[in-house]
Amino acid sequence: MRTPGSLTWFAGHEFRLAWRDWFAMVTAGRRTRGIVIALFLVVLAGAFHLMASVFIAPWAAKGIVADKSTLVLITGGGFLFWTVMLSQALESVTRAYYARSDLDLILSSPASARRLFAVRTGATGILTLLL
Amino acid sequence: MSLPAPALEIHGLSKAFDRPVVDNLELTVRAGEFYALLGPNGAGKTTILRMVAGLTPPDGGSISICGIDTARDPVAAKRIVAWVSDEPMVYDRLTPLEYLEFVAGLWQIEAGEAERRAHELIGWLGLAPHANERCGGFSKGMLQKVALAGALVHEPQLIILDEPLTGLDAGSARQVKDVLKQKVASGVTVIMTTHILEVAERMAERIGVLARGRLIAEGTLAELRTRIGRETTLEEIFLDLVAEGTDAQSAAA
Repeated sequence: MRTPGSLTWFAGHEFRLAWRDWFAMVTAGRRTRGIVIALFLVVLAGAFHLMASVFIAPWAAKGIVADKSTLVLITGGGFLFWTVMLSQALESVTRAYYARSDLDLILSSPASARRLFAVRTGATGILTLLL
Repeated sequence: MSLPAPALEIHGLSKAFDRPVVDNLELTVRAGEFYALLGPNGAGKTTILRMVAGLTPPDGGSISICGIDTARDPVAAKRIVAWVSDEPMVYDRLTPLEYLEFVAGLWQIEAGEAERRAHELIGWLGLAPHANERCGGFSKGMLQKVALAGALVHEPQLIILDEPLTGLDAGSARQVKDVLKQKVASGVTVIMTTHILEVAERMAERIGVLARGRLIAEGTLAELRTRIGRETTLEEIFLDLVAEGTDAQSAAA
C-alpha cells in the first residue's frame, strides 16, 4: 500500500487525474465515443504504416544517402517534432500547474511540495515523450 | 495553571506588493473563538489569511499558531490549520469521497482512517446521495460543502475561511454555519472573512475591522457599538469605523 504523501502516492494521484482528464477529453463523457476513437486510432496507425510502406520503404530499400536534401529533410522533421513536443510540454505544464488550481490546497498542507513538483515535472516529461 | 496558547498570534506582520497591503498588523485570536475579520475590498484580509496558511511569505513580523512559530516550523503549523478560499478547489474528475481521501492523504492520515472520516463528513454535510458522483456537475453550494469537508477531514485546531458563504443558497449557507458552530462548540477556532455582515453579527464572538492593512477596531459587537457611541447595526458600525480609520490613516500619511 502507498504511504500518503509519498512520491508513489502523488504519482498515483497524478496518473488518476491525467487518465480521467484524457478520457473525458476524448470521449466527452460518452462510452460509444470512446470505442469510436479507439477504432479511429487503430485505423490512423494503419494508414500511417501504409503511407510509410508506399513512400519511404522503396527509398530506404535503395539505401539512404546522406546528401544535402536528405539532411534538410531529417533536420526539418526533427524541428517539426521538437515544436510539437514543446507545445505539448507547455500545454501539460499549464494543465498540471495552473488549470487544476490545486496548489493552494497542496501547499497549505504539510505534504512535501518538492515531491509534488518532482512528480508533476516527471509526468510532464513522460507525457511529452509519449505524445 | 497556565492559559492555553492563543490559536493565532500575529505581531508586526507586513506585506507589500506594489503598495503596502498589510501594515504592521497586531492580532490575537483566542483558542476556541469564532472571529470575524471584516474590511472593505483591498483591506488585506485575504493576504493575511494566506500568510497564516503558509501560502504567502510575509515581508516582516511573526505568526504563531497554537504556540507554533510558522517561520520556524511551518510543517507543524500546517498540520493543525485548515484553509478554505473563496473559490474552493475541488477536482472535477474526483468524487467527494475520492477528494476527501486525497486531502486526508496530504495530511498523512492512513487510508482506512481517511475513508472513515470521509464517509462521516459526507453524511454530516448532507452529501451522501452524491458521494460517488464526480464533482464536475456540482453546484457552487455543493462544491463549497465538499471543500469544507476537506478542511475538516484532518481535524484542524484552526480553520481559516475566506468568504465561505459567498454564492451559497439559504439552505447550504445554513448547513455551513451549523457545521462551523458545532466546530467552535467543540473547541476549534474559526477565523472567517465575510462581506455578509449579518453572518458576522450573529456568529462571531469578536470582530476585527481592517482598513488598508491595519486593524482599526476590534471587539465584541457590544464593544464596537460602545466605541462608535450608538446602538446600531454592524453594517453602520462597519461603515463608520472604516471611514474613521481611512481618514485617520490619510491624515497620518
